[in-house]
Amino acid sequence: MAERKEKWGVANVYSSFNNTIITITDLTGAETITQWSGGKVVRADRQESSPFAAMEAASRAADDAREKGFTGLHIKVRAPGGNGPRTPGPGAQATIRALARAGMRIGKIEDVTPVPHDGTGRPGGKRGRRV
Amino acid sequence: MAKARRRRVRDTWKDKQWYKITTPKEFGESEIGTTPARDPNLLLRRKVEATMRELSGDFSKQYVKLRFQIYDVAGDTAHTRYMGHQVTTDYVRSMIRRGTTRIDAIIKLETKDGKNLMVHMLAITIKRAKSSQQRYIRETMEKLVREAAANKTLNELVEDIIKGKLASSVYHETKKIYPLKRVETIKSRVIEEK
Repeated sequence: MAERKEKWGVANVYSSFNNTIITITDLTGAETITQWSGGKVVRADRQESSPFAAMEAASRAADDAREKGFTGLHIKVRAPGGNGPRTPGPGAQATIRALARAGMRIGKIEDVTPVPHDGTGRPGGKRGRRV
Repeated sequence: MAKARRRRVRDTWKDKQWYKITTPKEFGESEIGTTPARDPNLLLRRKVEATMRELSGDFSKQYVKLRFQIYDVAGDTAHTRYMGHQVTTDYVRSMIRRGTTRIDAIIKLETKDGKNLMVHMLAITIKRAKSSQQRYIRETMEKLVREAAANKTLNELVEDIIKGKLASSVYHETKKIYPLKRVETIKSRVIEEK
């Protein structure tokens, strides 16, 4: 593992309203380098998706990745998708910022939210969710 | 507990070797990146994504993603094969506006050298088109792509697809039916025989 060249990886960021999960893999996505989530860094369940938790998780993930010789990361941001929300949660932005602040080079940033070409309906029924 | 598990993870990491991934011959055999693996056999069938910008330095083609699959490992280099391409969703979304029609044609075809390929063409009109016009455009697109594929090998066809030659030739033919804004090949996929 010579340091002569830059080594790129992929940061897969799954950001929902309940949590933020960061998985750093190699370029093929077959080898996971490190995995961090909002739930690993905060105590309270309701803070799992907070930008702060995402920031913490991202900086620790970046540390792990740097230790293994990665210098740059491409980012794939993903919201729950499917029949759920298609917009990434509050942790997505914070993650990207924190990765950049932690000294990783950021390559392309892409939204990889799975969008159905029609499938099952959204839960809630015809009259919507009644709270 | 956590510490013990961590040590085990480190150990396997040290065993792993780094392999260079190179693009297929048609793309100049340049290096895309590196991937670690314990065993070279584990590399097979791994997929890599690269944008056109990385491969050719062309900024205007940043939205095209190419997918390659590793099929052979020699020494510390892994050779790949073209698997398909895709245009990023945000680029497709930006083309589609209100008052325009989106016409998709998904075409399964066979090239001259007997390879199967799935091609997804997208045409966008300037104004809303009638459904008969849409149908006619779709049929014409399919016919033109099939004709182009029939006397080309897979490599030639792939080159045409990603350089946009196929799309522009289809555009010049189909715009006579109804004014079109753009024609783009959004997706292609090589179908492997099992």
